Amino acid sequence: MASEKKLGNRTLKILEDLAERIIPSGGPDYPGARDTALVERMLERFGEFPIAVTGLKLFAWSWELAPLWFFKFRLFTWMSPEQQTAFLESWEQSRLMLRRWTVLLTKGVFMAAFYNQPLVWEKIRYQTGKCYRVVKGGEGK
Amino acid sequence: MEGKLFEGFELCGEVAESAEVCVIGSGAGGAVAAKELAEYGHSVVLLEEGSKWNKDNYPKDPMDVFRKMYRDNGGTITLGRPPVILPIGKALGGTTKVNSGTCFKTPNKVLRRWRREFAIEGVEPEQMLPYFERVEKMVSAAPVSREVMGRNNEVFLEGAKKLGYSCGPLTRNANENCHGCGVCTLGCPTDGKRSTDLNYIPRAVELGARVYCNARAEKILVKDGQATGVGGSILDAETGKPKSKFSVKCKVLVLAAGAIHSPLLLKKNRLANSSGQVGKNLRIHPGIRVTALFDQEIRGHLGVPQAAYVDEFANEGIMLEGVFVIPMLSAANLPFLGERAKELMFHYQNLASFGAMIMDETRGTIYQGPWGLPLIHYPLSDEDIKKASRAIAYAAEIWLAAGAKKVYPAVCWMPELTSIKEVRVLLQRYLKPSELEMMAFHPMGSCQMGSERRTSVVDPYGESWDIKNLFITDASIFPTCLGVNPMESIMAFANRSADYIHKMKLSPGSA
Ligand SMILES: Cc1cc2nc3c(=O)[nH]c(=O)nc-3n(C[C@H](O)[C@H](O)[C@H](O)COP(=O)(O)OP(=O)(O)OC[C@H]3O[C@@H](n4cnc5c(N)ncnc54)[C@H](O)[C@@H]3O)c2cc1C
Repeated sequence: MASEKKLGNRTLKILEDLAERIIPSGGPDYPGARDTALVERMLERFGEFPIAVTGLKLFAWSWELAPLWFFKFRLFTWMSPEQQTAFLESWEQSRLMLRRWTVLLTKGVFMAAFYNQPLVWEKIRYQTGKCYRVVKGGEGK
Repeated sequence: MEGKLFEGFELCGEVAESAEVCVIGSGAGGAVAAKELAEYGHSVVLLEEGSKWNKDNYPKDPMDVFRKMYRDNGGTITLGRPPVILPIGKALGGTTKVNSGTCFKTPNKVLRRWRREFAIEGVEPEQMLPYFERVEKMVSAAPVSREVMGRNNEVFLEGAKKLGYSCGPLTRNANENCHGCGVCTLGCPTDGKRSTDLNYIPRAVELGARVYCNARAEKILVKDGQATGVGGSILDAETGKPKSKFSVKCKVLVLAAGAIHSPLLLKKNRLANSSGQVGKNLRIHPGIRVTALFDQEIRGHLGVPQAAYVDEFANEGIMLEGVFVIPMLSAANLPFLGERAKELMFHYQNLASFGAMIMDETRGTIYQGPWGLPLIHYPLSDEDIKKASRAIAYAAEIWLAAGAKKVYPAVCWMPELTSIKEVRVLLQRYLKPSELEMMAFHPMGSCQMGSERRTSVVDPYGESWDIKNLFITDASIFPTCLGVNPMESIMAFANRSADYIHKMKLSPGSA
């Protein structure tokens, strides 16, 4: 896979775990990160910019090592999905601004990429640039 | 001089121009100054770093819009507690190309305060009124019609009316081509929103102005304490990299690169800063997006996103205005991770949201950072934090009155609230700056005007105290926050400066 070449298996796994915890998969009608191959798509997009790929690697590895800072004595990808979720949530709810903003930024990156896909728009019934005059006049409110 | 608009790709080799007036920046301040001075018959060159976009060539993908029409991919951020995201436009038309189009005259109270506290002459409401009227006519300002208002705004107004709050439809610079598509901040797909590239700039070109897109001003030329021109680079529109040089000789230089980049350019050139005030006094009019979940469908993405206001709390410095954004932006602003966050977004049709903005007294500072980028320091003051928590509480109260099941106030220890009792908790508890998630869209004040050269950067007509014939006509000159969206004020003040430049600097017999 092109993305493995770009990042390496290990980095890919970190990003996929992060993406899946933030937007869990739920099948074709309720898709999440894995259902839409989110990380692959992100890499396709950012892949043209070498600096972005380096940035992604740094970002992924910062998360991989983050549990060590909190004396968890294991890497992010070694944790079970439940533990990963709990770990991310503890950052999201932290009163320490730096921790919270790190998770907000991470969430922002994955969510922006995920909710910018036409397939997802269809599922949440977002109609881009739809003329309101027509919608209001036609289908009613 | 024959008017013409040049885009970067048409230009190869060095460009050398000469004109009576050179304007840097084509947003609210620059476009107005260029057109008004061209209308007086002066030769004008207008320089814009961004590209030209219109309904036929907009990027289709929102991510591309942020990359191409905003600075820093839309991710300009202030440092301080809390960090605040501060998007800025970079296109022909400046930030007016990607803004929501809301028009407000400068409140009378603010104008009187400037007269009283800063001794700024000629800005009493009666003196400014003709400028506001002229601008409103030019940009087709009119209240949003019910036809395109959208349920998000209607529902909030219903809630506000139930509580007896003063509210109504906003006035916008839009014509009948606005169909309420809901994507104003991605550039308008119908050109219904009348940004300056659709009125002021074409008119300036008709009147003989020469407009250069993808032209970044870098060096301000000064001789004997007087501005004489500007030099810079023509950029490749795709990569943003310099491909050739330009220079413009002029009698009057108008700087209108916006409240972040005007002071930055002055700092890079080490100019006009004998007061030490360049880059200081930055206000950003910060706000919080308060989202609500309803049982019924709202379909907030349909209709004009910013179509209604509640000004009941204007005396406290709080304005509530409609704001509903595309999914990729909504998702990042909602609380939770994983299944809960996803479930919320899969109820996108039932979400509604409104912005709560505060008239800030906090003063930020712009420094020159690495690679010539701006470093913006903005630490929210205690007073402003209190205002922010009241603003959130008012918006939440209105959503609950409108029938919302849950409200998401963007406060870290209160991800959601469901009752008035919880709104009171929010009001009673002291919020720390780091507990808020804020955004801002209205930077201003970083090259403040005033009546004393010791404490201000420009005089009451926008001329630098230090460099003769160097004028600033953008959001950076305002001495305080306006408390309302600034576009119309910037335009009116730019128009006033243009009149002054014509009379005092360029007409026969002027000094
Ligand atoms: C998403 C969003 C929504 C908004 N909604 C509203 C609204 O509804 N109502 C309202 O009143 N205001 C709104 N605003 C704010 C408003 O658009 C701005 O306050 C206003 O456009 C600022 O005008 P300006 O002339 O100071 O700067 P800008 O409009 O930003 O123009 C500055 C221009 O100068 C150019 N420039 C900078 N440096 C250089 C250089 N070195 N050389 C050449 N060119 C340069 C920039 O590329 C830019 O095009 C919004 C802003 C945003 C981001």
